[in-house]
Amino acid sequence: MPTSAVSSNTAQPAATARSDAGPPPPAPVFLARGLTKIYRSGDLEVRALRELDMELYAGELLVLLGASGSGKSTLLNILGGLDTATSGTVRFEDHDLTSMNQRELTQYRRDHVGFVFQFYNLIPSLTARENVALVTEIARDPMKPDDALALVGLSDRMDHFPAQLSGGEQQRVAIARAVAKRPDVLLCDEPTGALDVETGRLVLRTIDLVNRQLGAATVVITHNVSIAGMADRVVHMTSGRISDSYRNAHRISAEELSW
Amino acid sequence: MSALTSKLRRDLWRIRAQVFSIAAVMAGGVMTVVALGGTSSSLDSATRDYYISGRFADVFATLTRAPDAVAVRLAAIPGVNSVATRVVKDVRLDVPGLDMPAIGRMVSLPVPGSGGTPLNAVHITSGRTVLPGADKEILVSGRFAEANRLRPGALLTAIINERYVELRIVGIGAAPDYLYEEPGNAFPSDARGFGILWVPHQLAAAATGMRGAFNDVSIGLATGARPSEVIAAVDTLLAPYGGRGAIGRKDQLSDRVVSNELTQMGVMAFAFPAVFVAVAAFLVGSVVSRLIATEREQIAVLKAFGYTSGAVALHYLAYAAAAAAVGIPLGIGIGVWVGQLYTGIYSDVLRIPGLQFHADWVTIGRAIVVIFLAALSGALNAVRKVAMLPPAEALQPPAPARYRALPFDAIGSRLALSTPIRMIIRGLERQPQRALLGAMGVAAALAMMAGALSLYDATDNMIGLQFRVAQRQALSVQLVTTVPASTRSVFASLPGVTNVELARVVPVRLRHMGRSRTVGLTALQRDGKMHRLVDVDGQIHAIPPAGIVLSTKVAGILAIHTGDTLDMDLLERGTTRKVVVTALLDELMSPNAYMDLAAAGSLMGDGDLINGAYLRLDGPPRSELFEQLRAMPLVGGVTSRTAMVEQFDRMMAKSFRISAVVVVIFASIIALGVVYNGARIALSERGRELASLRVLGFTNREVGVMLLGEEAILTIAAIPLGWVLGRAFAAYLTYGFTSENYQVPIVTRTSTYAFATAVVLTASALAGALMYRRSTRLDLVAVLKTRE
Repeated sequence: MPTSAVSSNTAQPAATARSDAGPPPPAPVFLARGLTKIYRSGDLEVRALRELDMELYAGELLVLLGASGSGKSTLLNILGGLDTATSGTVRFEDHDLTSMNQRELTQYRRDHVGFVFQFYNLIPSLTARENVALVTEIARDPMKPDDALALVGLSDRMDHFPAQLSGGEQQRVAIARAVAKRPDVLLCDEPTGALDVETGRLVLRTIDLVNRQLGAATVVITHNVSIAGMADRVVHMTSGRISDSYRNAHRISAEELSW
Repeated sequence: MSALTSKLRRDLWRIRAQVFSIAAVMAGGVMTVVALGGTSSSLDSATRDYYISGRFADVFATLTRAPDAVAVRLAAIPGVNSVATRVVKDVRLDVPGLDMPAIGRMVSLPVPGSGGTPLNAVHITSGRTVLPGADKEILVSGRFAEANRLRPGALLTAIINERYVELRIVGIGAAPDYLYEEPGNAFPSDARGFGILWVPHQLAAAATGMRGAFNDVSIGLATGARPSEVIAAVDTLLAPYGGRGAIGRKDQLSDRVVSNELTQMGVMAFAFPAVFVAVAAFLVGSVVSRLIATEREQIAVLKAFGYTSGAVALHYLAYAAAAAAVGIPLGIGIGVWVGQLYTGIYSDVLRIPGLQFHADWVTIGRAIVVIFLAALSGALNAVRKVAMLPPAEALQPPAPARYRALPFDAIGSRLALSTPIRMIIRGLERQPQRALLGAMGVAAALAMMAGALSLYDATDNMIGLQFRVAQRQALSVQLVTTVPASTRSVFASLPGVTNVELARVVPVRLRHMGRSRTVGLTALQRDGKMHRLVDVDGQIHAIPPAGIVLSTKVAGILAIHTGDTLDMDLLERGTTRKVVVTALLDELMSPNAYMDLAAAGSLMGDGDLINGAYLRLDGPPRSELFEQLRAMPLVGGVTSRTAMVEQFDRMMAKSFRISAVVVVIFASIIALGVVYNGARIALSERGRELASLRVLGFTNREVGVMLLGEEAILTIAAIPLGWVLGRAFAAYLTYGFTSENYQVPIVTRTSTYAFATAVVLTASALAGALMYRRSTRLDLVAVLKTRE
């Protein structure tokens, strides 16, 4: 029995909402059209995404807001090549992600995507430097691990193992690991979810910094509305659709955020 | 059904592959106990029963000739309960369908109505016994009858007193003193060429001119009598009658072979199960530990809700018990089957009436207890932690895995090892004990296989030394009497014979400083190329022109060294000679003594006499050669080297096939079990880490390398360890085969070790492949959202 997650009382996704500060960048890095994702488990059918359209532009920092079950993680997973859509298309630059097989998706992640996880997911048996090196060893044009760690302010902690680092430090190592390959996109799933305010702010500042310095299109998923201020663009998701989307006139720095 | 039982049932089903792999290792342990222990106890009890029902004698003596009245004096020796005198003589046989002449050991049956139950009673396995007064009816032994397809009713021709006598086989028999049918002299024999003939007393007496006399005596002892005292008294009494020295059961050829077999099986029945039990305990321990680690929070909840520590501990012990409950019946089933096959092989070699495999329930019971204890002890350490875990602490995630820089890191960075390789090495460094035990497990599988298969290499090597280096004659001809060396020309002129060498085997008693030993002295041509003296290492030793060469075993018994002089009693003549020991020979089969043929002749003072000849042929033996040999009444038996080697190889091949299949299967199970569980646990522990790597863009193959790298390194490290342990295992097993009469040098054959290595690598690769497939199905999405 098909079950819709939420009744459809919200407006159609509108890409033009609150304010429109400046012209949009020309070519989108991501272009999603009619994206639908249905999870089936037994007789149960869950529509996680419903005919969603969206774009992400080069260098843009996008904050994706929404309650649990709104579909934001599903969207991120599809953009990151971890999951495939049930219908619709996603293009990454000139690649069609929807037609890729598992091997091609792996190669896509390897070459283009940087991930930051809520629980860091560092390799406990490797030092900070080695955790970064793990990725740079397989990347096409990576930074030096030391440079990546310097970028996140951890030059003095490079030879520490994850168990010897604080949560914030671990997350910054994770960011260094994600950006060391010079990714085209940086996908962060609740990067501050496991951190206190102060540390969270530091992590967000790091994300902001690498976004500006490296120009990677960045998507930050969060259910924390306060973070929206640091974005170029903010997208709200509800029941598998984009319910709201707007551009910030000014990106405010992470230090100014409060929650 | 209680909730915990439901949990147990479902969890067991979920980890069924692991449970089954452990159960299979346990089954291996039980199987070896059931098969080897059961075969051993079946052999032992059948022999014991048969020794009682067949009244197997305790002391045996052969002599030249003594009047029947001597028997009464023997019976009067304190400790002697019963005396049975016999006439025993080897005679030439012409067997229908056999082109070679054969030897029949004629053993006289008791005179009917002579009273009492005879010692060494003949058991009729088919046909009937000899009727009183029928002096041409005989019984023949089983192996000989089967090899020559002789059934009751068949006729044999024997040359008795230079006359051809036709004998009718009326029954096939077995006797406790001939469970093992071998002549026990220095001449080789094969199954077709040597058999026991139980004949009416009058026939044997007439054939040997021993009416009213005997040349063989068996003695039953009274309870509590000391064999050594009786043996001494018998020797004294029989000395004037050419007594060759009485022996007790332990020196009796047939009993000695049976005892050796029992000892060997005892060694194997301990060694093999020990390997399985140790591996099973290790696997149970690692699997239950991991299960407990993943279920920490569940354990906390159970305890928080009021389950006692004991109840929770019992729940986890039940996983170990479940594996045992599957493995034990499986092991018993396979063990009974393999035991029946082994017992079948034994009944071809040892003719023990009533020998049938029966499972030895005492041993099985012991095996069950040991396997259960092994399973529980493996799980105990992990379960103890569960019992001691306070609920509040259990609700917290375990402390994060702490890694620190390790000694290897410095080398690692110098070698510029890639990061994945460092991960693998650190994983091993972090849990060295687990790594070591894992490697030991794989090494044990390899060692067990290499060791067990090496036994066959050792046997093959022995046969090679014996028949390709030491005794290279195509045919051995045993003569019924001693003849001048000039008879050589008769043999040389036989069709196809290219070379003849002469030999003389004389029964002697060697004495030195109050010690003595009866052996067959083999006198050979010094320049001989066919029968040579060869030591355990395959080195050929020349026969010195004078003096005697002793096997080191004999020298040990006599406490004699090179250069010492010993007394040699010529048992057929009743005279004694002094002879110097000129060399010692460390040989495979002993006890032996050798002399140069000419030196022996002059020592005995009867010139160049011989009683055997070795023939070399220009090709396979022709039928006219055998025809002519058969026509020579002088010729006792003829043995073909090829036939003997083939017979041996056939028997070994049969046993090898069973053992190889069993050992390969179970060694594979051990290797598979160790590697599979190792990788399965690694996947469980590191699933999240590996999924993260997949998200970061590592391919399945790269992640597979990181998952299986540890197991691969352990497996490779285990291989040289397995070789070393395999050699030690082979040494332990061959130790079980070494007796006063044999020594089995261990042989390390590259092909065997390569085969064992290949099997272990294949099993490990299979386990790795199973786990690799599993690793490709990691849930990449879940990993982003879950904490460890």
